[in-house]
Amino acid sequence: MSSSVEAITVLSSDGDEFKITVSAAKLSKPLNWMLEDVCFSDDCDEVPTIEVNSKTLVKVIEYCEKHAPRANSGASDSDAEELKKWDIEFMKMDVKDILFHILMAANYLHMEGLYDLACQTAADLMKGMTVSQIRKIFHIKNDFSSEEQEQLRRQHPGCSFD
Amino acid sequence: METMEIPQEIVNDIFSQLPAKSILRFKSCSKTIYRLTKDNNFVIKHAQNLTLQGGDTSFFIQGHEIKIYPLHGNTASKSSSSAIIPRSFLRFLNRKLEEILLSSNGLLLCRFVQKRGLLDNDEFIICNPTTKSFTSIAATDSLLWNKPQAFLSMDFDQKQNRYELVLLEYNRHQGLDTVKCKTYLSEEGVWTKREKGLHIGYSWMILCPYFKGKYHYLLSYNFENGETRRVLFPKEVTKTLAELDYDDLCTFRWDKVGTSGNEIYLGILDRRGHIFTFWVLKDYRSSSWLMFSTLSFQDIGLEEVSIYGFTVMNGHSLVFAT
Repeated sequence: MSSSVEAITVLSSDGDEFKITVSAAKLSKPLNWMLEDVCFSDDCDEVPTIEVNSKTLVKVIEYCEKHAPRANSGASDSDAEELKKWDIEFMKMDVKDILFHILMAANYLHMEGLYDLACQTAADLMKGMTVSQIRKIFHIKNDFSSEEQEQLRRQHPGCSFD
Repeated sequence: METMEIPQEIVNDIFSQLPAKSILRFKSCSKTIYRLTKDNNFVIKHAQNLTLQGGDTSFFIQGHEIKIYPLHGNTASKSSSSAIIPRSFLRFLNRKLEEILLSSNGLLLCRFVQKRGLLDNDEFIICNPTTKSFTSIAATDSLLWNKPQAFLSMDFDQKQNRYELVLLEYNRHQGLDTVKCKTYLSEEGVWTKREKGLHIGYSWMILCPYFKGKYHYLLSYNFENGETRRVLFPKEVTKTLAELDYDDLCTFRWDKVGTSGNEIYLGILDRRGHIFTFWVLKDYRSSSWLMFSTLSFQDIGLEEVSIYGFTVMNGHSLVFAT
């Protein structure tokens, strides 16, 4: 393994090229394997593809680069505190429309921290929603029969199907 | 927002980050979501997430909010209590827990599934979350296969650090009157068949057979002579019996009010009337009951809330899950 390589190039599923530092890529096991398998062999001119679209990959890489120093060296409590604040800001940005893409990417790339963060963000967004809004965003079909709905209503007054 | 479709496991993970109240609100989304609230793995994961976040209103057995109200008279002086469960214990449970069968004074009886070769082996373990101690107890056939036809009760004496399990088995086909009794004492470590003259903490207990989706009558079992006897429900509640769910009824002992400590008490939840009623059995030969306490949802500050089962803890606190 060559230690002179500091950043590698990957392709998104849209075919765009992205640079990611080696230390940041270490946050993801599959990426790490890719590094070892493909990029450090001497005659490497193959660019690995990551099955994540460009818009999402930008965010995932941004997260990796921010978290890499701490993950690789360990950090003080004040750093952890700062990182937590950064996470909140990171998720506040225009993430909402690609949140599920980030979630899927984090799952695919085995990035536990980002996955949990995305789940928590999604849950926070869901709290204020109605049942029909939840059905819509998760593509859930209401499969209760009208009798079952009636039974649920009787058992749990205040239960809403809309 | 236009969203992509995501796999069910990920949906479950997102839901496990929601507060219990939201999960209950969303359970009418679909049957899959509804089942989540009854799934042990989900409930434990949910409790773990809440523990990590420092949420303190959830209890891992139910995963919903637990509220405790003292039951004396009608005065509902509010006292809520929360259980903090050691994280390492949750991790242990998470590994292979199937079901929590009973709890008494903080002691839990759990069913675990162990994979041995191709076979799943059920294992019954008594655990004490506080001391993090575990003891495996031998399974009996009725525990393994005939759960609806067996009643199990557990009594844990914290001071003496001993427990006893009483298992009552009946065969539905031979009629409800053939009840067999087995006990398991912590110092003996084996199940023993008891014919009569059993000296345990109480002289008789009442069973609530529930079959074909209905309560029909109660069954009392006398530990001294091994007799069983049918006991009728209080007249006032017979009309509502057909509407009772399995979780809407519980029996308990009320050590503080009764003089002998052997009296039988019955708690009934009337969902339509939004009220809990509590009864004491005056005479079991004539099935005469006395209502000694009621607690309406309003008394305890509940409005438009679903109740998921309840029980009476240590004879003086109403515990219910919303």
